[in-house]
Amino acid sequence: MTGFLELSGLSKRFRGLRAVDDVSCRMDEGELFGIIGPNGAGKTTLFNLITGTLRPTSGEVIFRGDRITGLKPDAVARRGIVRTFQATTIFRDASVLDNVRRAYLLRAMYQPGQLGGYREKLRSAETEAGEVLELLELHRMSGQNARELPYGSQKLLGVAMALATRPRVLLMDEPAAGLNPNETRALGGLFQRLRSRGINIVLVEHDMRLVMSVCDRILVLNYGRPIALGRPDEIRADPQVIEAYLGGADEIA
Amino acid sequence: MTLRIVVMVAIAAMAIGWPFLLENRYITHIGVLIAISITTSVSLNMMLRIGQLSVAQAAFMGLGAYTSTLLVMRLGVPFLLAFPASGLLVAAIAAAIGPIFLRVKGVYFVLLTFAFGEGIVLMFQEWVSLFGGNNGIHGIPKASLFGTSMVSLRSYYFFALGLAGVTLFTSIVIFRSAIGTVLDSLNENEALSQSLGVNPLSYRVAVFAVAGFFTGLAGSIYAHYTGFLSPDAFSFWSFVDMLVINVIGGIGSPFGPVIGAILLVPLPELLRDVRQYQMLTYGLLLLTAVLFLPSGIVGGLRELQRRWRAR
Ligand SMILES: Nc1ncnc2c1ncn2[C@@H]1O[C@H](COP(=O)(O)OP(=O)(O)OP(=O)(O)O)[C@@H](O)[C@H]1O
Ligand SMILES: [Mg+2]
Repeated sequence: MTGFLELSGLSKRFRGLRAVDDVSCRMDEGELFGIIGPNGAGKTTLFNLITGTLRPTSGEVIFRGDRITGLKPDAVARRGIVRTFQATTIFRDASVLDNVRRAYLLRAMYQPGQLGGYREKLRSAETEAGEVLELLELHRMSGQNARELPYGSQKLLGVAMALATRPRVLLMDEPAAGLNPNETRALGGLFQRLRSRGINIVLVEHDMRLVMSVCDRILVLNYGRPIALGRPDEIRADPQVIEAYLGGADEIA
Repeated sequence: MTLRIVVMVAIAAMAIGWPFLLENRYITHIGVLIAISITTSVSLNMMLRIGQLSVAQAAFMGLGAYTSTLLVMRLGVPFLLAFPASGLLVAAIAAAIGPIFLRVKGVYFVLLTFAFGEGIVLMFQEWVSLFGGNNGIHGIPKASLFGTSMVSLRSYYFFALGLAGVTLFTSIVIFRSAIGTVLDSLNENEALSQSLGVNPLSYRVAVFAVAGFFTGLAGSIYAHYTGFLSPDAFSFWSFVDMLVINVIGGIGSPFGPVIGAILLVPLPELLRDVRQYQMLTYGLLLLTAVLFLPSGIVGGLRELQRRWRAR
């Protein structure tokens, strides 16, 4: 296995606050990588640094051997690193199908092999979107207006849109927040299916049971600093991790 | 859908056909002004549809007008070349300033383009040796195509109408294509669109350049049609005209400014005798539109159609 996505000394300061503080780690190809930490630990900020939404104060992001630090979010996405958002982020006035179709189309605009006509693109967007919706079990709602979906489904729709761009790495920011236990279990199954399609997943999640059951390795952040990195059983037994979570609302399952 | 096509063909046929039935110099003159105004207002509409109120449009028209005029008068360039050159130059300027201007949104973009427009008009006024200052430039030769000078009003009408048609067609094609989907998505949720791989700036700059291109061409026709240029024709108020035309016609559709131009351009001519009431009428119309037809006439028609269907 080679280093696939690599963070090296990545830091972000907001005024005096060290939101992300010297994070280095190497994610391997095919690995399902988890990032956990108490509220405000810097998880979302870390995603923002990887995707180019924020510029790091220092450090590098390396993807398949290339420095991608400082690239704009769209350029990072076009390289195959696509994120989902912690808050629901969808085109609220479009139908579910239309949301996914658009996501596919936006990406297809940049693919030279796909310079067919609009109709052609629309048709392939249509089939592609149908498949993705089926994968996420949203296909029964495909005609519905996105804003009418329950919160959990809106979040899944966000995942569907990211998938429609055919990412190599999918960064998910708390996809299970707002899902009921059944949906969360289904999400666990989805991760396995995505993985078998060769999509790498980096998961930020508060649902410990989910994280512990699906992730190969987990990075724990506390006040922006990495305090532990290892397999779920190692993380569960780590005294520093237990310390960080003591008194917090989160519990280690 | 087919009904819409029939209506559109009928309107196009009317726009082309009436000068043959009715030979009236005055009405043809208004027709030329309307066609030029449709071109500039549909261009502004493209910018409005990407959510950016570009006050620079009037200056763009001026740049096109002076470019064409100076190329023909100073350098002896044939109109056939000066005309596209005026559009291309303005497009190039838009493409050059776009990456800086379009980084900001809302009020800041409005202010930037306002300052740009004022700067351009100031340049027309102060650089007397080149632009003729406030006295303007007189005796601009008539446009000539393939050696024959366009002297008849009617030929100007058709030329301006052709440009208006191409501008409208371009706007429709852009917004109905995949590019339109991208632009709408950017408008709706930029962070999401960008996270899916779209470079927002490049799309916005492209629209800015296209809008500048057609506005520059309109300026060229205007210059050679009126035969006289002065800086104040491209001031802030000429931008306000384009904006009012859009608001009253409807911003949400490229047909909005078409209807707006047809209704509003003749007004100053009709109200010539009661000049003091001209601004008042303008104001009242705008007030009525904003209060009762917030999506303009096209929006109002759509609403009617929706209610009709729902019966
Ligand atoms: N744009 C910003 N400007 C200033 N401070 C910020 C900004 N974004 C995040 N922060 C701060 O950085 C710290 C890390 O925030 P971040 O959102 O990354 O945490 P998180 O781990 O995602 O938390 P949560 O679990 O609540 O989502 C917090 O203290 C937050 O207030
Ligand atoms: Mg977060």
